[in-house]
Amino acid sequence: MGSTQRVAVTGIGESPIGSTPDMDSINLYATACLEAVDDAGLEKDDIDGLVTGYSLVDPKLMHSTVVADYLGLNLSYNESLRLGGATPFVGVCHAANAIRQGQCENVVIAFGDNRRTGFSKGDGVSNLATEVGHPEFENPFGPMVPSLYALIARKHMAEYGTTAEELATVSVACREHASMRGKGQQTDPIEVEDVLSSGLISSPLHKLECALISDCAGAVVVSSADAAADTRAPVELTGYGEGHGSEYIHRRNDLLYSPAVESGSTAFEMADRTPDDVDVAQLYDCFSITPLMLLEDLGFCEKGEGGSFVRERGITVDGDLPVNTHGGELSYAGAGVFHILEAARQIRGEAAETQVETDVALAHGVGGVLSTNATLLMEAW
Amino acid sequence: MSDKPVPTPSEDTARFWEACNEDRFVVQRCTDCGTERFYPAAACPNCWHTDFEEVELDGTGTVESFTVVHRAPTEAFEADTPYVVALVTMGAETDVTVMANVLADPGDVSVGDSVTMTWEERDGQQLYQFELAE
Ligand SMILES: [Zn+2]
Repeated sequence: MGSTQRVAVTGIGESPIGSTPDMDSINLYATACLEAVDDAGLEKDDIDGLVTGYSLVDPKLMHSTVVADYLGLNLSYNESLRLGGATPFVGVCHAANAIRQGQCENVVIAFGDNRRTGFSKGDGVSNLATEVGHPEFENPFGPMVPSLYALIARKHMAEYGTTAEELATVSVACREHASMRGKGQQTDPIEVEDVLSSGLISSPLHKLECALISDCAGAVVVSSADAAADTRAPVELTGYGEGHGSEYIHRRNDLLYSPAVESGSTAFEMADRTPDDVDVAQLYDCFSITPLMLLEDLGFCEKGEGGSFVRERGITVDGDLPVNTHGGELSYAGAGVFHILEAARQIRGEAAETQVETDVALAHGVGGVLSTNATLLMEAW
Repeated sequence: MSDKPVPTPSEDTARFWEACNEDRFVVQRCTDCGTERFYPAAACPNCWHTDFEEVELDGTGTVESFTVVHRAPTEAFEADTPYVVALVTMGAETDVTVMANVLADPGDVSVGDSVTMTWEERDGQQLYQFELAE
């Protein structure tokens, strides 16, 4: 058994988001790291752990070592992690484990890229399109990344009667939150009709149901209980869990379940909490179908009821379970790392216009096609 | 010459793509646990047994799900939009699910439809595809 000492999310930071043609990928990472450490009230020399993601624009053999070099960090824990959009969420899990093992005290987890302006036009879509599907057994048939999620959405509609309007409601809710906060890549309010008339990308998914492509990076500091005592506004990481499944959609045993089932139940058990205890959920939203599936797989409703959940119970700040109070990838910025920052903000009471009364906040990340999943639970320190 | 991707066979998949060139769709059946595995691999993903026998499927299947692609991933697919990408569960007694195009009017395709395998030649490689069953 590992140690069960308390661990905290102590700092959050982010780079400018949207189009930042004057910043390269490493610069974005570094900017987010500096802000997160400053937010925690820590100094450079307090940081002894680093987990970074990767860059499709500027690939490195040892990404975290390059970022550590750029920032002049002295590390006893160093990890380059590459699990798609789940990367920073799994990074937080690994950092917490390393802290509990006594290997380090303060770990920065950072994730981002300059995918909006870093690729030459056309390259970007092709690059992302071939990043996920199987090169021999999927990509020859011309799916793009939205197609892979569209296959799940179509199955969900056929099996449970989920409607296009219910899926579109996810995008509308995210936009409403970004609009209320007045911050993010897309902040103009939209209606269901706007989503449904935004053009099909890969049916049943429309343009406004697909994540933004952004230049951005976000960073989180995770600290030991001792180290957290000296920080500005620590938030307890009370539970976390991972779940890992097939990368390739044609290998999925059941299109309608994701390994969020396992990551969620592990996190809830660790925190001694249930879905009923959660006041706000930051759910990875690469596509509108993703939060809908996660509501089911994490246990907020029964399988097949995700559509009626968003329609009847509501996922905006005045609904039963506010989801993506920052605007998510559908409106705030196209990287899942900000879901983690937003969960911490909600616990701190720093979520401005979309602050909700929050004792327990959940953040959930997804990599691949609902392939790799990680769930984080946060509560007051 | 097609600009669309043509599979590059590996050591694991060469036999599969050779069979495709005879218009045969073959999967590996584990000689220990009986799992039929697709894509081809060096070991059974169920039990890691490495021996297998080759089984030819009859090419019938059911549309498990599908999407109509309106925005092509690369230029090579642009002329084909809108086109159907489907997941097809093969035969009655396998767990094998295959992704391919259903070569039909997108408006005619539904989840649960019966389909049969057909073949497309792409730069000298036969590629499995599907059409709606009669
Ligand atoms: Zn076997």
